[in-house]
Amino acid sequence: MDLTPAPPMPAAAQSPPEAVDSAGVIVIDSVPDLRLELRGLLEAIGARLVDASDVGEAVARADRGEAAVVLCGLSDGGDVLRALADRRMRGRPACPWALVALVPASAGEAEVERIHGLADDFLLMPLGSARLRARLRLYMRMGAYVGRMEARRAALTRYQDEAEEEERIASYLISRLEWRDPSVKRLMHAWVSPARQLSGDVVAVARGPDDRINVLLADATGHGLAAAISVLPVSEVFHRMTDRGFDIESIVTEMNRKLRSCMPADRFVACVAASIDMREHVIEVWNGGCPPVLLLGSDGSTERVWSSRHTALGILDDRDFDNTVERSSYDERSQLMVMSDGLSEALGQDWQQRFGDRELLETLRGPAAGRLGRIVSRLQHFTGGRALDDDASILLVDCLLEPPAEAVMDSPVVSAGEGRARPSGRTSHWAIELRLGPAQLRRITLAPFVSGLVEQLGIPGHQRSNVFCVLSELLSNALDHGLLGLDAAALDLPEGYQQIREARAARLGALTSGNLCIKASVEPSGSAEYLQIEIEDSGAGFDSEGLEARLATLKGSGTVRRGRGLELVRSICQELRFDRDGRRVVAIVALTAAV
Amino acid sequence: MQTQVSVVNERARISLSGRFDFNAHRTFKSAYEDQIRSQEVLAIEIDLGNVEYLDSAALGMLLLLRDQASSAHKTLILTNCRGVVQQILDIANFKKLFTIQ
Repeated sequence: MDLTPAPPMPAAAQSPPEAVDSAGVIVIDSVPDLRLELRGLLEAIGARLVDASDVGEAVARADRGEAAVVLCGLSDGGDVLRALADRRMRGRPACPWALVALVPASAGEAEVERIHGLADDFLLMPLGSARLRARLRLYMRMGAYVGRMEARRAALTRYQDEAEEEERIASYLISRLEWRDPSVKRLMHAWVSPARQLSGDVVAVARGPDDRINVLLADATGHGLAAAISVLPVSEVFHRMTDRGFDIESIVTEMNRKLRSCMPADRFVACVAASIDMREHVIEVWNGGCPPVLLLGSDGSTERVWSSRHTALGILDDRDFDNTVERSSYDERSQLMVMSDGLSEALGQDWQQRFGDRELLETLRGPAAGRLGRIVSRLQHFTGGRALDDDASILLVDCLLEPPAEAVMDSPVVSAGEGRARPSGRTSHWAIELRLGPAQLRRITLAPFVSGLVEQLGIPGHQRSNVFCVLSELLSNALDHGLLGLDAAALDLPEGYQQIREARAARLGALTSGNLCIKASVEPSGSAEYLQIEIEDSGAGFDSEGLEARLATLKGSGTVRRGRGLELVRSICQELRFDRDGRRVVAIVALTAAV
Repeated sequence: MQTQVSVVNERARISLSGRFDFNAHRTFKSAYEDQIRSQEVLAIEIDLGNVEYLDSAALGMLLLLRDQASSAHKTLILTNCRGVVQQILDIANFKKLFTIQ
């Protein structure tokens, strides 16, 4: 902590304490005789008499450092002394100049008692020069000391004010990072308890273009501003990449890369990043250095635990960094619980016991409603209300299947694209055609590619997630099964997901010919507007009828989630048909409500 | 936190005891700096047997030491990890970064 620059100290405080000859002395009394009486004495010992005609001037000049001492007579019964005492301490805790009462030697105890608490000292009149010199030295030394303390205190106060202001602003900025889309706010129940004013823990929930809900809890080394700054890039990457549709593996890789490049070696960020796919009922979790992530059933029972499998972000370089997520399916009424170690390590009243796993599990039981409140009050009971030593946070996210995007919007579905000038809605026909060869297919990541496309095409806001869903589902279908010939049945096996991923990467890498062709066009029809999407791959084709038949039988069993994608696409589209032996699919989506 | 250093057969053992946290920064650094510089020392052992607790700042200090040991071409080993210390190192997955015995 650096407290410079300090404000200038009063002159009296800066002069060496022994040099009485530099001392400025103000003498004040209701009768002028006292001044005359003391002038000679002060000059004899080398002190300087400073003029002041009244109480206001005396205080002002002493405050400016022109005098180290104000000597005050009591010929008026102490009124001037009282006025001086009142003025000099107004609004400040300490004063660098001394206020000294001059008491006649004849005064009794009662008179001295009356001025008690008003002056710093009293001197008996008449004064001798040796005695006055000694006292002046003392007052000057005391004044210098008070002056230094006062300057230090002022600097500290200023520093504290600045720090609090900076923290207030940073705190505000960070609180804005928790969510951006109001519709996700109601899914999240968060509690963040900073060890200092600012937390090095950040929690966030965001919705991807495919309505997938991404969840983040990041816990930076240390506390306060330094820790809060370290979590900013993590949160920024999380929101930006979620918006563009990247998956958790890409997001944690980028967060790690960013932190690794900008953080000192001994600083890192423990992190949980998870994604809840409410369509497929699949949760993916990446846990690097955080306490276990829990999937809670509707009664609070623990259905799945994801322990920390990775090192925290910002430690390993790209080569050693492992972005593998763990997947699990879930039931609709589940809740995902993520926490930072400040919670599980919170010390109890005896400073030895910890708010360990057993206590935590007990509080989780019971209905989801009020669960967060139960955990927090149990924690507070356990710590006796004392502030925690470390930042602590808990994030609960409901895994309820969301109603379709239209239903959560406040405004009704309107017939034009959000303020875009489109007279009568009839002028906007357009068509595009894109052909992607092996090199492009290797380079692009599907989700951000599709979300960029949806954005560029100017699809109206209320239909964006639907069009995204149709495009990405049909594109990945054409790529995986059409062009790369991957077997969808493998997904039913426990390790299927990993196998498919590896096979996809290998086959895509080896792809030398073939392409995907995407055509999209918008045509008005009556008062409505339709988007037609056509995707054709140059692969061997696949048995689309067989696939659909299989889906129809599986749908009844209610156990297999895979295939819900295509099912959903069918529910969004006005029309969906496969032809050319499954090599081509045509989908038609209504962009405006037919009137 | 207290430290105790002994060097036997080109191996420096730094034994730590007490709470290994942010306040131990200076103590810990001064304990290992000489060993990093020393030509005779080929391996550094951090004995955590008597450590009651370590926080994320301590993990950071271990990471710093790891960097320095690797640039000085010295082996680094963490030993006698148990109880809370073991748990914290497990959660942080430090077994991927350090040799832990």
